[in-house]
Amino acid sequence: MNPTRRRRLVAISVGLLGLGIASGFVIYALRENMQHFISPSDIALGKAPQGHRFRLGGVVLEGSVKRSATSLDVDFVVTDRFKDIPVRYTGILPDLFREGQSVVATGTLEGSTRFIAEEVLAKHDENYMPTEVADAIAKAKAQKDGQP
Amino acid sequence: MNGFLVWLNSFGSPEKFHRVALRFEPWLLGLALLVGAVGLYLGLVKAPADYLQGESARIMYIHIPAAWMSLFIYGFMAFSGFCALVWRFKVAELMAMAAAPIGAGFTAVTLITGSLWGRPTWGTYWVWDARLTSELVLLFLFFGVIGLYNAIEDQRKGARAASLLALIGLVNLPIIHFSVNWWNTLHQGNSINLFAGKSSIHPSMLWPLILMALATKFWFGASLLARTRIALIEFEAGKEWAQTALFGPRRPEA
Amino acid sequence: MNHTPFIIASYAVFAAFLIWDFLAPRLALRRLRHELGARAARVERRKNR
Repeated sequence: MNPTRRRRLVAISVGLLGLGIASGFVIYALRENMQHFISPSDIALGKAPQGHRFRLGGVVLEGSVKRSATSLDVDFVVTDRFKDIPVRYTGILPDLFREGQSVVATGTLEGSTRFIAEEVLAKHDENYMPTEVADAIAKAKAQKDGQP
Repeated sequence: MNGFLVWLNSFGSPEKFHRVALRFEPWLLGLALLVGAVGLYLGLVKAPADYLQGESARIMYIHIPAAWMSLFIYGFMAFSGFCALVWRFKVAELMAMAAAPIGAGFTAVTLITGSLWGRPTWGTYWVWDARLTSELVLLFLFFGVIGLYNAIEDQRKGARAASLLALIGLVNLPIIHFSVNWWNTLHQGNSINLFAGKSSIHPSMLWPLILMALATKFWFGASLLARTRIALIEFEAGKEWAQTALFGPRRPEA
Repeated sequence: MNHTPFIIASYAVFAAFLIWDFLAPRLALRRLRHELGARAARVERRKNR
């Protein structure tokens, strides 16, 4: 390889390496700020901002959804399977809102025990399957749970 | 390495590149349409609806392949730009610049279809989570490369400046791919893991996805060859071969 | 929620992109051919005068 090309190759490679390391540091420094939501465990650890809006993420606890008979109020519990937090939301929930599915709710803490949500989004997981397969899995699981 | 350079150099002649490109183009385009048609048939007709998302899951048969293409084309553009910067291959310069608008298109398709999937699934068209934001940054990187190339008067200098920008933007690719692992995002994790060999998509939905991914690769090949070939004709418009390519073989002087 | 409009819109966007991507380079070539043809004709006329 002739010297000019070698010089260019080295200069560009060193430049890219430096850039890569620099961005690595920036991403590492920003890792907390780039979280889209925090979990109920984070709230228990006092990581939730007081009096500020933030996003809460977790699974809707099975059997916890209570809809008001007279208004659009919904109460449910969001869990990360370690800590729970009750949530109150007024409005129409997305189609995919189900017990046992993940949600991301935007809102504020009331006291430190209840989350008042202004917006609730359903978070989908990376699993895609036909209804029959999902049913079969659920059935197999139920059978397994039935005979320990 | 040397063999690779010889191979690259064989592309170095614009005339030869034009001849080879013209031969491969229809085949790539034909394959893209054929494989794409089968993929769409499997995806839209044969594949079942998702157990939770219902019919809207069918959007993924274009969203995911388009997203892969946006990353793939960016990587290709940066690699081609790297060759252009180090070895000053004219064909590599034009190829990098020809890839940019195709990549921008696939990125826009990714963002729009994702947004159209997000509305019925998540309940919103857009959120500023790490995955969506980094993909939007990718779109602006493509725009930046195209803009810089067109802003500089001297075409070859412009191509090299834009190639450098493309190389700098390369840091965004791992950020997009790993954003769903590094941070909490509303966007779900990667469903398909080629290296671990285990995917969380049922086979009846995986096949149309794979076929569409192949079809978009073929399409990119055909489009890239066409765009590069035409850029070469424009660049060398005065030369004999370009005149022949434009107006057919020269008529004997009367 | 009815998903059909979202699916149709998605595939329409994809189709529009493919059509643009197919036509753009071919239209560029046609424009180039026109431009260069016109220039050659001008040069030819000037020579014959």
